[in-house]
Amino acid sequence: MHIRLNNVSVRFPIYDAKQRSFKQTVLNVATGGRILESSRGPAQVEALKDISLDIKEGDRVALLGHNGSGKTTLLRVLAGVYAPVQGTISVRGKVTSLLDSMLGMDGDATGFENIKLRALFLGIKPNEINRLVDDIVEFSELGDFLNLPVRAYSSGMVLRLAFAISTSVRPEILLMDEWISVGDERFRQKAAERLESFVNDAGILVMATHDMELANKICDKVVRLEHGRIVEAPESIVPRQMDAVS
Amino acid sequence: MFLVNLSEAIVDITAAFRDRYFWTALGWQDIRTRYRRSALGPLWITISTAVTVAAMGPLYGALFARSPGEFIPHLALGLIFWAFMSGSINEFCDAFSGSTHYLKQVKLPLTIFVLRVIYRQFIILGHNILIYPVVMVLLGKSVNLNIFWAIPGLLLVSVNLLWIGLVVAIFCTRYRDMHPVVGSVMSLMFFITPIVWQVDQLPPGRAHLADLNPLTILLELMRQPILGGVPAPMYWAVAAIAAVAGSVFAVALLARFRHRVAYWL
Repeated sequence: MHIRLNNVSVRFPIYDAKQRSFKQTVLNVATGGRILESSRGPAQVEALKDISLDIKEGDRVALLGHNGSGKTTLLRVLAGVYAPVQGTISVRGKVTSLLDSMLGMDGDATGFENIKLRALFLGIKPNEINRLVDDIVEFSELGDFLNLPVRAYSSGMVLRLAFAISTSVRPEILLMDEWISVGDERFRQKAAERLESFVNDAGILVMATHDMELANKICDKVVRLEHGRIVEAPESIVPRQMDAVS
Repeated sequence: MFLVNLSEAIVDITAAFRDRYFWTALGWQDIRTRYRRSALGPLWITISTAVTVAAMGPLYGALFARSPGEFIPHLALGLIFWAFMSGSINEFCDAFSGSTHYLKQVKLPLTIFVLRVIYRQFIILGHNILIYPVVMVLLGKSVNLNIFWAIPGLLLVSVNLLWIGLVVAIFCTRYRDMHPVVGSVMSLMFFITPIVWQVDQLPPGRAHLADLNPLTILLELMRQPILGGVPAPMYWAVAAIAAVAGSVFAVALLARFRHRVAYWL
C-alpha cells in the first residue's frame, strides 16, 4: 500500500474567463493557485505544481494551507478524480474518499435507500450492504426514521446517517477533507470514538484541515501547501526536490 | 502514451459492464425519484404515451387516409421506440454533468453513467410497451414469430446508443452549447423519421431518402418485427457497421479525453 507522486502538476482550464485585465489583477493575490497567462487557449489556473510525495503504509498525513492552496485538489488527485497534467502518480490500495460526507444523499429517497445508494459510491457491492445495514441502523440511532424520506430529517439527523454510512467501511487509504463534525452533544462523543477507530484502521490517512491542533493530534506528518506547491514537509515523505520551493 | 490511454478506455467500458449492479441501481433509483410523490408512479409514462397514441392515431390516420388497423400500430410502436432513442440521446447530454458531485469525488468508469441513462430509458420503454398489447386487442391485430427479431434489433440499437452516448456525453461536458443543439436536432429528427408518416407515402423516386436517416434504420429494426415483418438485410448490415465503426470512434475519443472530463465538470 502506497501513494507516490512524482512532480505532479494540475492546471484547470477556465473556459469562461475572458477578461484579460481581470486575469492580470488576480495574478498576485494571496489566495488560490497561480493564474497562468497564455496567448492562446483558455486561461488556466495552476492548482498544483511539482508535487512529489511518497506516502507509505501507516502514514498519517495532514495537509495544511489556507483556502485555495490546493488541499482539496490534491486529495482529488489522490482519489484519481483529476489525472495530473504533468508528472506521474501511483496509488496502491483501495481508496475511500470522504471529500463530501453528503455524497449521494437523495432527499426524496428513504434512509434505507440512501444507505444502499451511498454504499455504491463507497465501493460496496449490493450483497455486502446487508451486513453493514444493521451496524448503520444501530449507530445512527434513527430507528423508524430510516423508512422515511431523508428530506423529513433534521439536518443533524442527515449528518448522523451520512456519518454512520461513511464510517461503516474499513478503509485502506482514507482521504478526508476536513474532520467530520457531528453536532448534538451526546452523539458527538460516540462519533469521535468511532471516527478515531475508523481512522486508526486505515492503512494510510490523508486529511486536509485548517486546524493545527487537530493535525498534530491525529497525524504524524504535516504537509503545508501554498499556491499549489509544497512549502513544508518532513523529509521522509518528500524525498527530494525541496529545492523547487522558493 | 496513447496505448496506455486506449487500454484504460477499454478497462473503463469493461469495468462498467462488470459492475452492472452500479448502473442498474442508479437507473432504478432515477425512476423511483422521478415518480416518488405521484400516486400512479411510473404508470404515468404509460398513460401519457397512451393518450398521445389515442389522440394522434385517429387524427393522422384520417389525414393520411389510412385504415386504423394499419396506421395505429405503426404510430404506437413508432412513438414508443422513438421515445427510447430520443430520450436516451437527449439525456446523454447530462450523463456526466448531472453526476458532477460523484465524479469529483470518486474515480468511477465514465461508461457507468452512459449505461445508467440507457438503462433508465429501457425501464421507461418497458412501461410504454405495455400499451401495444392493448392496441392489438382493440384493433384485432396479432403478432407472428418474426417478433423474435426484435430482440437482436433492440440489442443492436442499444450498442449503437452506447457509443452515441459516450460521444454525446463527452462533447456536451466540454461544450455546454451542445445540449440545446442536441435537443433541437432530435426534435427535427422526429419529423424526418417515419414515426408518424410512412415511407410508402413518399413518391417512389424519393422513398430511398428515408433510409439515409440512420435513426429510421434503428427504429425499423425494433418496429418491423413486432408488426410482423423482418427488417431488410441492408438495415442489419448498416446498423452493425455503425455499431462497430461508432464504437471504435467512441473508444478513441474516450482514450483521448477520459482524463479531461473531470476538469470540465
